[in-house]
Amino acid sequence: MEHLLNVRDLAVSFHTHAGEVKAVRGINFHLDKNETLAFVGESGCGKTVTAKTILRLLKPPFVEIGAESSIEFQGQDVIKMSKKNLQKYRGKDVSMIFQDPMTSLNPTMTCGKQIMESVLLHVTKNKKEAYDIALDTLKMVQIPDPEKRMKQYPHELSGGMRQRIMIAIALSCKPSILIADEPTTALDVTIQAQVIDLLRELKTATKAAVILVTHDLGVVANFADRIQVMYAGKIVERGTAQDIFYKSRHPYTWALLNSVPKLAKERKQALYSLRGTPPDLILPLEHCPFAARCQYCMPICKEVFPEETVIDGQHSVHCFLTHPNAPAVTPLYQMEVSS
Amino acid sequence: MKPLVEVKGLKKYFNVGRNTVLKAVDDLSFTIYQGETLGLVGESGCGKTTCGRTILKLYEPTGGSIIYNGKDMNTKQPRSEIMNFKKSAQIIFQDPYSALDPRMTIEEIISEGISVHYRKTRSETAEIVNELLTKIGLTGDFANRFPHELSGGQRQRVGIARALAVNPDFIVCDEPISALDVSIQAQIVNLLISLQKERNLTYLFISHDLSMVKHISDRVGVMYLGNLVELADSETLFAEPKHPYTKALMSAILTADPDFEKVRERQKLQGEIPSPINPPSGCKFRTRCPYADGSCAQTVPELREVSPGHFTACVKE
Repeated sequence: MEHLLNVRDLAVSFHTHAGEVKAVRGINFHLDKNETLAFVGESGCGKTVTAKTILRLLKPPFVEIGAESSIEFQGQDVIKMSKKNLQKYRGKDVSMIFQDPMTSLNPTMTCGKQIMESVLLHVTKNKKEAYDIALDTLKMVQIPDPEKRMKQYPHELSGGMRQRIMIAIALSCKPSILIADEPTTALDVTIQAQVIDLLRELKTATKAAVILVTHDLGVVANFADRIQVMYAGKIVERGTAQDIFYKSRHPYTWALLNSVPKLAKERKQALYSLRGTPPDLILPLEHCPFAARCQYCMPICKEVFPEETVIDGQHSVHCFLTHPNAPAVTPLYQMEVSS
Repeated sequence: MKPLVEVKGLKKYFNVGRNTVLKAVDDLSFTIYQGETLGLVGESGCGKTTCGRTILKLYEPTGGSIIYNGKDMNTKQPRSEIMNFKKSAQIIFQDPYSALDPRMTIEEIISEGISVHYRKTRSETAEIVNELLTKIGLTGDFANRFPHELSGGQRQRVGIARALAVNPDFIVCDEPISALDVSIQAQIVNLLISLQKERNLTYLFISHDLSMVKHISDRVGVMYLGNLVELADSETLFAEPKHPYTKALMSAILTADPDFEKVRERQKLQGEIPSPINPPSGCKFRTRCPYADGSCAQTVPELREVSPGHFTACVKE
């Protein structure tokens, strides 16, 4: 089957005074219709950079996309797209919900105007029609009093409401891919649950494919079909939600899963915590980037980056522990069934 | 167990102009026992941070009493008593990026409290700072660095070292992990737990991360619009929440377990927290409560003991 989005050898680097920061180091993935793909990892692992590159939001000359990289959307290469085509592509085909609803909305424009902005650009030139579409989208995101919100400014709304406006802006032109960059991080627990439920409903209603970028494993468990675990600009493990949460094979995934407290677990027991911090991305890192923090590290891990090993179906991992000659280890992570 | 901090009818009102008063903390009473961790949870704007700061008298309380080690700190006390209180009650702030003075070195930051409360020579202070830095998992050569040279996790460790420098008994941890990455969060929580065991510290742990609160706390209090709505042993609270708000909070936790998430039933909470300037009459939660009826608007529910050690403020219970 033809994939909706196909990303090959994506490499993104930033030019800084200290040197070239290689934020994304050659990743491959695809996205199909109707599915939710999640990027998981710590800050600085390259997940947001990847998401922004899909929309070509990072501008040269400070940012350099690798020469071999390609991002194919319905047969067109996004990296080679002209400015004019990009404008049609952004917001219409692919749109994005940004991390922080407090700073991503324009404080000098009413919410209605902000939603109508992209509608007027992509769907219709008629202001009345655009108003109706914007109002319908607001109803879709279940905002109370949609007519009143159209006339309000972002500072008059609460965080949860602002996030709904952001979602409305992203969905107003019925995109085929929705990128949600940490959509719930800035919100309260109760509002978080509301927003996740809303996104799930909207996904079914609009049939959009979703790329979810987050570090919150709870959100991922609730929403994602497939998961890619990223570390230092590389995808270290990928698979379905089942594969990652119950059958993960990479020590970094184990560590991530183990560092969140389980509700069923004994109290005041030490949580599993990784030593140290992620590597400096200015370094070349030819070997496995996780080697320095990995408790199962072998001599070979410090020499070469492991090839992708397919476990089964869609589940694959970059780790020498899956090599037939590697010593058998007991995974750190044993899933406890919460009751 | 001996009570260390007893809070009785604590009130903190803020004047927000034109005769309007924001009741951030309104008639709050609870006890923290020696050596325990009391967790405090709630949505943003429920008054949990104000509560923590008022207990330390970083904010002047509007009313009520804060009895620390048997002495009411909200009445006139001799200077020595106040100094003693300020020394033995410390705080770890939420945001390690803004809580450290960018123009001071780590040594100056950590030793500031020591120079106020103890008479030490410069070399003795340096010795203590060095010891503290090793204790919290950094090395002695961090002493001469500035905060901007440190990562978020390292800064939060410095924040902890600063609180520990004056040998406190009681530490208010005001969302100490919410600004940090997942793997770093686990490091900081482990550090806090091991320090508590070693020095017999008492914590007031304020957070909105319910699973982390459950992990670290002995007892947990749930706050809503400036009031405590439920207080219980942490196991009991998570196993059998009584107050509808607690139930809703519990069911809003997203667990990292897809199979469980598919089958569980979620009690959804409609709407958002009302403004504390003009809170609803009677039970403040009634506007979002699925069980509310006419009686809830009439009476303000008192915090009552429903089973030993389990308090809840709901007229239905």
